[in-house]
This record gives sequence, structure tokens and C-alpha cells, in this order.
Amino acid sequence: MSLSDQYPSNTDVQAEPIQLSRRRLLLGSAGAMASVSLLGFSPLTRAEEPKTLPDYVKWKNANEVIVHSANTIETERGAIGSGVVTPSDKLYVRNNLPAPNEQIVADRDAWKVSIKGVNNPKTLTIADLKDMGIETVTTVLQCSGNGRAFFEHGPGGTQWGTGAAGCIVWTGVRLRDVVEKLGGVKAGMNYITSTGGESLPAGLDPKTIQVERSVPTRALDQALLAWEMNDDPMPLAHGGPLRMVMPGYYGVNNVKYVEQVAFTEDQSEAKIQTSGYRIRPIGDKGAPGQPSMWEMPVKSWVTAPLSNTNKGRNMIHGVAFGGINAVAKVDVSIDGGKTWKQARFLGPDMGRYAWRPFVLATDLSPGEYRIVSRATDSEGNTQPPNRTENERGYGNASWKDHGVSVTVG
Amino acid sequence: MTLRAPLALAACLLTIGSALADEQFDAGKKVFLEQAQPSCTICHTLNDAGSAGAIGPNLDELKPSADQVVNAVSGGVGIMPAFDGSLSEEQIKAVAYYVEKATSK
Ligand code: HEC
Repeated sequence: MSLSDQYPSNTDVQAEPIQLSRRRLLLGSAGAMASVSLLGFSPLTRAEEPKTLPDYVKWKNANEVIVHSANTIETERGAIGSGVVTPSDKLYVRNNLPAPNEQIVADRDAWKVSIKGVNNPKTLTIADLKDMGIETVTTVLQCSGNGRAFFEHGPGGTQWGTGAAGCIVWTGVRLRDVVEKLGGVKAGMNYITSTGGESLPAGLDPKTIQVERSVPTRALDQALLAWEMNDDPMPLAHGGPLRMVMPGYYGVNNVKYVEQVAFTEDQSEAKIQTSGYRIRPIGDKGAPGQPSMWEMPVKSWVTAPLSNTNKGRNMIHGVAFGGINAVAKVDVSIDGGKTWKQARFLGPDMGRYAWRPFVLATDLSPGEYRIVSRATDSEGNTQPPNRTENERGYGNASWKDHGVSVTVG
Repeated sequence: MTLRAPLALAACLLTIGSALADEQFDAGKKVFLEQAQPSCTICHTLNDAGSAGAIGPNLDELKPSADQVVNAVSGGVGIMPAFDGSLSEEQIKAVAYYVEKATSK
């Protein structure tokens, strides 16, 4: 496979998810992908190639997702439509380590999490947490690498288009309420450091691959220890039985299978914190001084139409969110950004950290159109035209990259 | 990605057969098994190397190009560490050659 078919330029993004789904279907780790490796596609069946889901996500809707690998599964762009909340069976999956065994969700209330760096550190079960408080928050969950496929320098890793994002309702207890019951945060602690409970292979320094992420303590305002996702017990694939939810922060900070939450003076020494998930110039190595993938900026994209549509009246749909801030408005252009019209938000406002579906009704005559959307947050920050080039292809919010070329006939 | 089970297996055996005499292949296999620290085998499944690691993608299924391997090994991807500080450029080239050859159809 050549570099050019691996890393599509932004002019052929339309065709990209399909190519990628074919190319990436057979990736994966031994256990989880056993079923995939047994598929016997012949060249003739390529067009209707079935998408086989690894066992731990068998319950996902195979028609609405792109299987990049056993641990990276993307939502089809069109599957979001005008959805206020993303159904769990369409939601993307990005596991840095293989998901733990199903056994960890057999007795959910017995799962333990140690809370440290507070005045009275304690290990609590989910049953204990349920006695401490309950809250429901809706947030956009988005992978740092969402939009990586649009970078032209070919950053390695999963080639996500728009579908490493969803809008999810989480239920759990505010971390703030837990901390209050444990005597408050110790003085001088600058970070909330959450540790994932995945089992690690022997013979490796845990710091090499452990999923442990630190975010600034200011996130205590909104952090949630969640045991439900979209009103169901937290699925194993999404971090069940217990997940740290950091509203407004990139996905990686929402640590799955969370077994320790520590208030710490310094950031974690795990590689995923020190050198991973850092924005740096192309060619540079990851290092602690570089910006970490924490708060998300304002972003939007069109979800329909995506390639072809009929002439006449059309509804242009999409989703917009403000990341760490609420989204205030979204404009849509059908001429690649020369002229803009404000779109209307659809459905209920699910709060500061949620996305809002939008719609703009427009009359289209036959021809070629470049449809783009550009959101503005409550602080007046507007989605930028261009991406910030960076080695790993993180944080793409470019409205140009996220536009679609549509043929009206 | 179009060759399937029996065909792919046959093609695979052929490739390995002809590559056995290949110095670059042997050098790369040594990097894969021993020289890379941590060893590629801890995290990856690769039949030819007899490894069954399940942290990263199964390389027999991924069938990465040499470029893709160089990219991943030099810079790291996700939680996979970067090896550009611990392996020489020749070693990285060799392991890339090895992985591509050992997994190509
Ligand atoms: C500590 C575990 C670990 C070690 C050691 C390791 N890898 Fe990986 N590797 C991974 C993980 C995890 C991924 C998937 C990264 C992702 O996309 O999140 C990966 C991905 C890859 C990929 C695919 C990159 C792509 O383009 O998607 C290749 C090729 C690869 N590794 C080769 C190697 C080779 C060769 C070695 C030895 C020099 C090695 N790995 C050592 C964990 C490891």
C-alpha cells in the first residue's frame, strides 16, 4: 500500500472512510479479532464486504461503524445525522490497551477505586460511590486524533475522519462530592491523575504502557465518576464498570476501568502523559513541555448531505460543540466559505459540554458545492479555517478540512 | 487485502522460503525478537517470530508496509514506545523490511 492511499488528501475525503474500512478491517490483536481473521473474503465480495466486530463490541451496529482495528472503531459520518445524543451502539471506540475481561463487569457494585491525595484517602466501591451522590451530565466524547485523516504529512495511528466523536449522557457521582466526603483535596495538588485498570503484560515497566492521565485540578469543577452511559450500565468497551468523565476534555482523559484517582503535585510519569498526546511540530518527539491534549476547542461538521443530493430544497445537517465552553452559534456555507448563513440548532440544549445538532434549509440547483460549517463558542472563539499542523495529527478543528464536496443533480 | 486464507498462506510460505537466505531479513528478525527493548514480541503477534503479544495489532493481519513500520517504530504510535533513541537507523530499516516480508501475501 502506498503512502498516498494510506493518507488521503483532503480532496478525496469522501471516498476515504470506505477505503479505510476495507484496508483496516483485518487489523487487530489476536484474541479480540479472532473472528475477523477467519473471514474469507474473495475479491468478488469486496463491494459488500461485511464488517465483523470484535467480541467485546459485538453489540455495536456494524452498518454504522468503520472497524479500523480491534481497538479503534469509528462512527460513520452520516450515522450521526441530526442526533442530539449518540446511541451507544454507534459510538466510536478507542482503547489504548485491549479491553479487560468481561469478568470485571460481573459484579459492578464491587469494583474498587482508590482516592488519593485527599485528606482522608480511601478505597471505595461503586456501591459506596452511589451513596455519596448522583448527577447526570451530557458531554461530547472526542478522540484527540479525530480528523487525523485530513492531515497531509501522514501521521501514523488510526486515520479517523469525523467519527471519533459522540455526544453521550453519563450518570455517576461528582468527583467534587466524593472529595468533600474525604476531607477535601490536600494542599498543593495541581493535577487529577486517573489510572486505568487494564492488565499489563509481564516484563514491561508499567509506566511504558499504562493508561494514566493527569489533568489540571480546575477540572474538578465538572469531573464525574460515571457508572452509567446513555442510561445503561457502563459497557465494558466504554470503560465499565467505572469511568472517569472529564467534560470538555479530549477522550484520552476520560480514563476507563478507573481504579485510582489521585490528586498529585506533578503530572503522571506514564509515557501516555509525558510524551504521548502532546502537540508538537512535525518531526519533533513528544516531551513534557509541549501542550497536552486537555481542553477541547470549538468544532462542527456537516453530517448530511455528504456526496450527492437532489436539486431543490435540501436540509443541511450537522453537529456543533464548544468543547470546554458552550457552543453559541454555527454558520453554514455552500460555497466553500465565501458566504455564510446562520443555521438553526435542533432539539433540546443538553448543557455546556454537549453538542447541538443544526440544520439549514437551502435551495440547491444542479452543480458542485463545497459545504462547510463554522461554529462559535460562548466566549466568541470561532472554529479556525486551517488545522494546526502537528506531528501526531491531533486536535483538528479546521472547518475547511471538515467540509464536504457535494454533487447536486 | 484481497488474497484470502489458503492462497495467502501459500503466498506467505513462498515469501518466507525465498527470504530465508536474506541477510536483511535475519537482521530484522533479530531486532524484532531481541534487540528492540521492550521486545516487539511482548506486544505483537507475528507468526514468523513465534510471538503472540496482544497489546498492539496482530502484524500478520495488519500486513504493514515497510514505511508504516519505520514510522511506527521511529516515532511510536499510541502507547507503543518510540525506538529511535534505542535502535539505529539500520536496525529500524531492517525490522521494517523483516515485518513487511514476513507478513506480506
Ligand atoms: C509496549 C507494547 C509495544 C511494543 C514493545 C511494540 N509495539 Fe508496535 N504497537 C503497539 C500498539 C499498542 C500499537 C497500536 C497503536 C495505536 O494505534 O494506538 C502498535 C502499532 C504498531 C504498528 C502499526 C502502526 C500503524 O500504522 O497503525 C506497527 C507496524 C508496529 N506496532 C510494529 C512494532 C515493531 C516492529 C516493534 C518492535 C520494534 C513494536 N511494534 C513494539 C504496542 C507495542
